[in-house]
Amino acid sequence: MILKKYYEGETMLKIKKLEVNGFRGFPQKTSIEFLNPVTILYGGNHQGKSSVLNAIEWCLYGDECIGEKSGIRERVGTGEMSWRIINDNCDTAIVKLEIEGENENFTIIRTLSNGKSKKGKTIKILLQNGTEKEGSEAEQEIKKLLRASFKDFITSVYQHQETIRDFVIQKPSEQSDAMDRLLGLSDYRNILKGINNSNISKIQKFLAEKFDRFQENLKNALKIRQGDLEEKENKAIEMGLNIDELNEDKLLELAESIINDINSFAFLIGINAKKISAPSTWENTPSFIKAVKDECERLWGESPEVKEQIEKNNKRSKAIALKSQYETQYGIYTTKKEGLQEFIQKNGNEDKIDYDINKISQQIDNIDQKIRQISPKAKLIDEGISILKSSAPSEANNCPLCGQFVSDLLDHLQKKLKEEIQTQIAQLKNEKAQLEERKKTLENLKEELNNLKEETQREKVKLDKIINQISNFLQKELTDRDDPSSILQKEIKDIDSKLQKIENAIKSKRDKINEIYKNTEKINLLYEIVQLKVKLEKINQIKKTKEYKNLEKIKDDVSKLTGFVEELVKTIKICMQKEAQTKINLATNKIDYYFRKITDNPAFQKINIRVEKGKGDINQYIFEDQDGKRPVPVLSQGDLNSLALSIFLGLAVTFSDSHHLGFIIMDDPSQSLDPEQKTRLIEVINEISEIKNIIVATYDPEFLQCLKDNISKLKSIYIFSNWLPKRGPIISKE
Amino acid sequence: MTYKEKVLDEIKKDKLKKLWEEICDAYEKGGSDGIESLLNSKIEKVKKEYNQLLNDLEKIL
Repeated sequence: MILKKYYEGETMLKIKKLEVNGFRGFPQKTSIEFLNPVTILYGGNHQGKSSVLNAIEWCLYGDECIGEKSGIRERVGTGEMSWRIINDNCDTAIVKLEIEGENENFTIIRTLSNGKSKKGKTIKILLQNGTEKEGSEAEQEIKKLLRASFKDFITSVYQHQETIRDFVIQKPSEQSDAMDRLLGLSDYRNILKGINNSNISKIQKFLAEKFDRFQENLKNALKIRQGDLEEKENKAIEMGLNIDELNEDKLLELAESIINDINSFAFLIGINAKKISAPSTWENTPSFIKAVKDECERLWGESPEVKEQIEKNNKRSKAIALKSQYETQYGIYTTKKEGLQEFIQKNGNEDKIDYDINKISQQIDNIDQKIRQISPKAKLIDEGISILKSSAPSEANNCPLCGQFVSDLLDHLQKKLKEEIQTQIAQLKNEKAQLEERKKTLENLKEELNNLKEETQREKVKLDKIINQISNFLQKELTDRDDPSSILQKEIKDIDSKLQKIENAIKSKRDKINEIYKNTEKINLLYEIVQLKVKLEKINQIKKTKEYKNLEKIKDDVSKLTGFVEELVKTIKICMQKEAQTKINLATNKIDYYFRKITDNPAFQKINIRVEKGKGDINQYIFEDQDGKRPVPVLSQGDLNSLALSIFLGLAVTFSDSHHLGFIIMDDPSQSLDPEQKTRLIEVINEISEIKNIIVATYDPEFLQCLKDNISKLKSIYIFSNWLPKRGPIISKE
Repeated sequence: MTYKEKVLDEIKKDKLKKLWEEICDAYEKGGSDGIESLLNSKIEKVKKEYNQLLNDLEKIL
């Protein structure tokens, strides 16, 4: 910023009246006049004082005071987080500002609607001569009349609360940021932020890495292919080719030779060969090889000797299989048969077993009969004895059966008879049981015999079936006297002899076909070698391709762009530093004066501000006292506040002639100041009010009283209170 | 003198001046996000082309 002289005819502009309606804290139309050199807006928080100041700002500068470019942190945000202009209870915000200069009075009216009836913004300026301008014309006129950019405005006209608040924070990076904003350098910061957030350097690095990786892959591909080529060339040499034959010409020559060989072979075996076309270029080799192999297989399969050989081999396999089946089945059958014979030998045949069973059955019948006969006989004897006993009493006598002398002979005989009968019956029954057991055993044997017979018969049937198959195979009837195994063995021997003869006959033909196959292997190898050579050539030429050159160009362009951006960043930082230092240099005396006046600290006889390159080459502000020491780390909150105010006021006064705005706005300047500091600040304000109108907003009653007592200029005091959402504040004038 | 003019004054190379003007234009229209978008779009376009060329060359290998 260049100090400009105060030219004759150019006047300082002062605010005369402000009218707000629907703007931020003002849902209803409210007017405030600024008729005196000093205007004080007093009230607690959220009573609308700052809204008044914001209204002035917005009316003069519109959208410039919103968003990131404003340099005011609380104004950054979009959507729900954006800084609201229109009061929540209204559709439209209207601010009207009457401004007077010595020679020029004008009124600016700015509106913003949110669109229930109408959406949009308007700007109008009414000039003293009755002219009215709207839209961009109005904006141009305002700029011309104010001669102060928005950055100038917030640097040297309107001290925001945020300015002091942020400066009081001790963290160096945030203090530097606050200073940059105070000095109107937020555009530089925002631009650097935008550049920093972009992916440009990340992508440049990424592209460079990819390029390097590609170079590595290229090198490896060459190495691998070269290795493959050498391996195949060696193999080709082992197969009988010369090193200078490893090319397309030899490949095509070999192809012709193979075709001739196939034709010769076909002639030899008396079959017509299919026409195979030689490859026109090396690239057609795979399909040629396939055609050759197919034709060789076909010819070989069609050859009469080969057919016979195949047939004989099949017959031989069949003979071996039949022989094996026969021998196995014969073994099984023989075992069964021998088992049957052994059984018969041991137990007799079926007839004998039947005979034995019948005999036993008869014996059993006899016993049954005997048992039946004994009972009636016994009964008769018993009855006889009973009759005798009843007719005459029994006398004692010797028993005629056992010789024993018994007292009652008849009784004794009766008993004896019973015993005898019982013994006989028991004996007979016992005999019968034994016979029955024997009969059961014989019946079981018979069943076993029958089973053995059946099994033997089954195996015989199977054997006969195999013999039948052998008979069909041999095409002759076999009798019981023939040994099928021996016959088959002979047959196999005959076949082997014939096969040997065939093999001898086709040996030379086999050699010929093998030679063809060998040549196809050679030709395949040549194909692979030529293919590799072509590939290597392509890889070697890759750097001459259009694609590669484009790649290098892009890499270079990106590198250049990154370089430009880096250079630009450096330049921006240099400009930022220069501008900061220039402004500070120009205002340093005033800043120093105001700081010492407000703080009145005997420790500070002088305060110097220097701009250095901080971290990342961003501005770092160094505050030094008269001894070159740095007081900022040990300054109190009040002193830091004083320093921020001093810088603002120093800039405001130093650059006051560079624009037409004849007023200064201060929002809550007394934060963190003690009573003495407040008094001294007011003295400074009083001094400045000689050249500028002052508008001060405060919630601090002590500061208000101090202003009342110490400002010697005419004052207007507005008291803000009882703010309600649908009404806004009550403003009374003291 | 605006920030734009001050930086332009310090720049000697034409290409750098052109870039600076583009950046200022983007900033005026879209703030720092605008600058970010501008630079990213410059680089994204070539990144795509670059990757495509690399793929084509890798195929030759």
